[in-house]
Amino acid sequence: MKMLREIFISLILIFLYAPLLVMTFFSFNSSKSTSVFEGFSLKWYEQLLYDSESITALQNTLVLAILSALIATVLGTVSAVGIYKMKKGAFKSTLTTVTNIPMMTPEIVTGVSLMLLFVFMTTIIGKKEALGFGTILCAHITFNLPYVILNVLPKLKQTDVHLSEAAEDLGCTPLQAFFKAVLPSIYPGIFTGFIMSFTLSLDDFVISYFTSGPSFQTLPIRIYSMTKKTVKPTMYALSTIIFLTVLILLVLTNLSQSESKKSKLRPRLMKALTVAICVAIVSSMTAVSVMSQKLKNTNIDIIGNYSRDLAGTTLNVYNWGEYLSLGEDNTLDVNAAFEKLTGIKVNYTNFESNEEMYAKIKAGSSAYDIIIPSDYMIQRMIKENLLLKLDMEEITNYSLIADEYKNLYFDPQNQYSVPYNVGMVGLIYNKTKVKEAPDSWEALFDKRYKGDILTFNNSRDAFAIAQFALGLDVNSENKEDWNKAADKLSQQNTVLQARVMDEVFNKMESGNAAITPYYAGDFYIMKEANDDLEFVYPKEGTNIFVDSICVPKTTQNYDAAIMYINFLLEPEVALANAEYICYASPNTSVINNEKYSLKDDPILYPEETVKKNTQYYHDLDPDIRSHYENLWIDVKLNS
Amino acid sequence: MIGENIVELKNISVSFDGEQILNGLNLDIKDKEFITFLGPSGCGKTTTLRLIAGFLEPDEGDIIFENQRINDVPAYKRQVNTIFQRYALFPHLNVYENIAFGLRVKKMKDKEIKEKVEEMLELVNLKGLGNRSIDTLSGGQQQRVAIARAIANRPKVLLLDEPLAALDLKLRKDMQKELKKIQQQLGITFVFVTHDQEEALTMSDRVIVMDDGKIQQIGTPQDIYNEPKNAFVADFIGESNILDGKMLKDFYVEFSGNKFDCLDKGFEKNELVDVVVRPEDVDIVPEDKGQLTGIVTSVAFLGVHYEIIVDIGGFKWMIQTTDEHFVDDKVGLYIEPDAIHIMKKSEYSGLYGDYSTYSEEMYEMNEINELAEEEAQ
Amino acid sequence: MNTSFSRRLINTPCLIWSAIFIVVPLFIVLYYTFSDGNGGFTLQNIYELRLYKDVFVTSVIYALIATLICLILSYPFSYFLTKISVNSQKMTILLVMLPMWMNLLIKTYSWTVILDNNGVLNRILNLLGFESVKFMGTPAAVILGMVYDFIPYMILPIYTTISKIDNSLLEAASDLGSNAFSKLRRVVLPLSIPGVLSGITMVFVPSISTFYISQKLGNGMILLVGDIIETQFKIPNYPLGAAMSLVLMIFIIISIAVMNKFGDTDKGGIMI
Repeated sequence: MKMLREIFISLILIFLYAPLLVMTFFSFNSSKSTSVFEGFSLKWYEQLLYDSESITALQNTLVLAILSALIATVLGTVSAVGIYKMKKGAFKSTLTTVTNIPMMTPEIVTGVSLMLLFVFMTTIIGKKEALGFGTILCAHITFNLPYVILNVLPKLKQTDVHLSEAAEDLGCTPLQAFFKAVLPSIYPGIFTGFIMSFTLSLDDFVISYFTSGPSFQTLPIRIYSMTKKTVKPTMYALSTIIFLTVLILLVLTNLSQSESKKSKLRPRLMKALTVAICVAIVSSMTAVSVMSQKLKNTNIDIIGNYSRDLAGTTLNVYNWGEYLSLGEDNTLDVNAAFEKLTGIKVNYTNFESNEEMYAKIKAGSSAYDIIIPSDYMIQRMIKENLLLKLDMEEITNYSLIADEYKNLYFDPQNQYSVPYNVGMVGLIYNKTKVKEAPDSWEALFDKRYKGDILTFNNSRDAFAIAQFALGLDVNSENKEDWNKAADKLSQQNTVLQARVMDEVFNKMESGNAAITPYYAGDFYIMKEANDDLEFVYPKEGTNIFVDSICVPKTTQNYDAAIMYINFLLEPEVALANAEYICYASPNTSVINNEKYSLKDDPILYPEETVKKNTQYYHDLDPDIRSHYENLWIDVKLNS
Repeated sequence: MIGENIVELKNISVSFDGEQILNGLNLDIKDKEFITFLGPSGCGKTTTLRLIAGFLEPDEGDIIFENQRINDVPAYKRQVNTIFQRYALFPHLNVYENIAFGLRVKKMKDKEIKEKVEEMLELVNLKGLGNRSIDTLSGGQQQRVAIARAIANRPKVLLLDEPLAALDLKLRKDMQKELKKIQQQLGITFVFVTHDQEEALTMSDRVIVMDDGKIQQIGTPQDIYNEPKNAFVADFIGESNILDGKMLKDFYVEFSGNKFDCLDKGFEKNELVDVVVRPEDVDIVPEDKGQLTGIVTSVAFLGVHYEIIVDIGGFKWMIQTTDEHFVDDKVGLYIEPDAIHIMKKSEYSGLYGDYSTYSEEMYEMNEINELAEEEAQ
Repeated sequence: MNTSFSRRLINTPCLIWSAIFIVVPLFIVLYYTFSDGNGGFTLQNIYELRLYKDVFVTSVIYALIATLICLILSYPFSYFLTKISVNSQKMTILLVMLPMWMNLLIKTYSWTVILDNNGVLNRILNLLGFESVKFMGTPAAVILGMVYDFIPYMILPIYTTISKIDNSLLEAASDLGSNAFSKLRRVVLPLSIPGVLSGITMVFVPSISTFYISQKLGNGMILLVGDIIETQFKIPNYPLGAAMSLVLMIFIIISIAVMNKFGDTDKGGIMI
């Protein structure tokens, strides 16, 4: 029986730690893959030294978690005492229910409704910058509050009611009585409330995402925004360090408590050790972030003119995750170089999809100065008057943009956007699993590959595949066309293994799936881990997209934004980005650069015949949009 | 020795959630006296104590302390300290710190605190236990800490809310003596609350019998015992046989179908009254020599005496006697005139004083129920 | 002593906070639920929800199963835990809490590496001579994800209530002739109900509204109500998203209220 007990406890613990062990294991992988182990290496730990974004995000996360937990604990304790002292009745039960609501609300609803509230409040006050540290802090306090109350209230009920009377009787004011008599006896509940708040705050990304502004990014948001690209192994390395640190701290605290009866020296030693480790962590984090600033490669030759007139101001940049060279592997750190050059501080935050970015800009929540949406989204944002016209004369490097990416449909006069990256969708397949090289989208519907087929887990891209296969217009305003495409997609359900975004990397790298559509540039990242992978552009044609740099109307630092755009077009900057992101560059200085490792790459820069056979997504009528989104839900529901 | 009024309650009324707890209560408490509130649970005695302590505000009426109205003075500013029913010792502090609590609040110097606490520990016989934590103490020791903590502050009035209820009998008796000793040593007013009549009688200078939010009788223990004002008091204090009677004239009363001489006067002619006869005041005599005759229905041996129940015309009398009798014995009862106490009829008439449902077990169960009710409050 | 005044004073921060950050957002949700997008009133959004009836039912079932599995695993775990030495208990509880501090996204990601067709688990199976099993994309994988992420929230309150049970009660039960099993059934179980109830709440609520777990471990093939709400807020179709959230919230509040009828939760919610 005793053995059984221990085996059961061990099994549950193994279950709890299995993914953490996997994470630790792959943090030592020498390749970029998080699913194929190619050899032991510490390179991802070394990379952390350069990744000041993640270190800052981690610091932010910790500061936010501690601060929000502290405030929530104080507020929650006061509330619990208030509720406890209240006379029983409708008011009391209403208040209790209301404080519990954040616990029962889906996170995304809390996130969006709080964002709308914050925006509304700042419009009243007349400030422009709605979202920032303050708002995310308020949001975290709000969802932590019920957990504190839930832990403190029962303790209050267990406490002898006469304790505070006894203290008052002995001369304490009611307030003193609370601190001297009641607080010590409800302390365990308060402590638990604090720990729970800390835990919840540490891990939240949905609510944080909607309520955070350009000046503040947490680690979960940063990881979540890597959805289009792959989650970097540096995140595994960072998590492993956090994991081991916490583990050591827990063991030490436990030792210092449990040994206390045997000797007096050991607990002191343990406590000293714990404190020492904490100090070491804080100082090493500071050291790393200072060092990573110094380690950063910011050396470039520039061709444009940049003044230091705006030194000291800040610039809020809002970009896709993993969509800018930030100094990994001693490559160029674009933001650091810009800061060094102009003295302007860059706040760099990430989004995960066009739609999430749009929701934030539309709400008018934050004064972003630079955003990088895709074509159809730019069209919509121009239509809805969310973007600012750019003074192209000022952007001297605009001349470097290849002519084929000028005067595009979404910005025919080149007034609002400057192309940043170009991409196309193609088929990636594993040649050991797919007998004959596919040349058509129909391969994604092929019953022979049943269970080995992947597709996009986002509606527009998924529909486009069916539309190309059926020869339909991807921008059709005819609902019938969408219905047909939806039918085609439903047929796919039986052969599909998964709908994926970033998971595609793991699945293709490890040979879990045979064939998938994905963005051309990302093929090379997968190929690095699995040499059996090949790429093809299907004959029916495919989607081409342009992600362009824009300035939203809410900007507070237009001149700096113009400077930043110009900077991104600098030959050396654009080259570093093109090498890092692996997507096609619209910048002639890159395309024609002999040093460019992907120069004339047949996949990124295919021949004209392929290029002619492409379609851009256009912004669709809201009615069509919600029509196909509903069809998409239906397709998924039937799978 | 007992001096001026220290606490006066004037026309106090209190109600909770529409239920009247105290109803027009008037009371003077004298300096340096040991006064006890006695009554069943729910009678308002603890409420009265909390009014004096300052944990409650009366709906109506005034609380006067040393000739000052103190209705609006918060508890922590009153020169009154309380010993709580379950002591309310601070679990996070040790014995020393519990006793030092009030002194620290007063910002007394550490050295003075140490002297004072040591003095208190000695007073309550807990010398050397200062470093013990509260949960390692026995009930009696906790009680002593509670006392020490309350009197360390040198209150003018000490309020004690059933402080001995949780102790066992032997310990309770010891503590009774000790409390009385401490009160005399310190020379301060003790206001004591209990539902145990024996405790009330042994310790108090004056006893206040309460029921239903009203004072039923105030007096010395002897007054209360010997001259109960109504059937409630008579029944609550000690054992009583309470019978319906008729006052035929001064010093002459009729009950149980017989006429008796007595020492009471001042009633209307033929006024209906309650007659109280204490069980120990009845003599058992041979059947033919008794003023009343009856049949023994139960006998219990209590050590010092027997408690027997005698059925006289359907009314069951309790009688305490040192002689042994047996069930179904026919006996005669003899009652001296000074053993008969006459009371005016009251709302309590007819509710008490008949032992027809009496049994040892019932008595104990009532005691337990009462304790349980107190706990629940 | 002005008790009523100080009572009111102590409630002010809580009242102000709840009013601004809980009640107003609630009204925003209400506003969108009955809004046609142009400021007009409509019931269309509520009416449209009928299309999602099945998703709703599926989500409830998934969340219920996940909660049940958490309960089935956590109860014996917590009970066994109280039987080992106090120091080991402390350490184990810390070990249970530690994974909660690791990033949810990273943990879920790691699970895909374990569960995939060529994943760690299938390789172990192959080594042992078994056929590969398809885990990912099955309801089982999604439920496993829910169980994994939320089981600490079940273990902690249950362990707390069980460990607080006075040992003399167990001795009394033995004294009255209970064997180990009937002791568990007649004494431990009834006394640990508050912990179980708060555990159920803390697992059920996040399970029913998750979307990340179903996306990653469901291979994008399993759609839960959380996914649909997320989609609606991304499209963005706030009115429909709000209507769905409102219905979900009302459902959660009602089920918790019903559940709490069965037990006195006053003592619940205690952890550690």
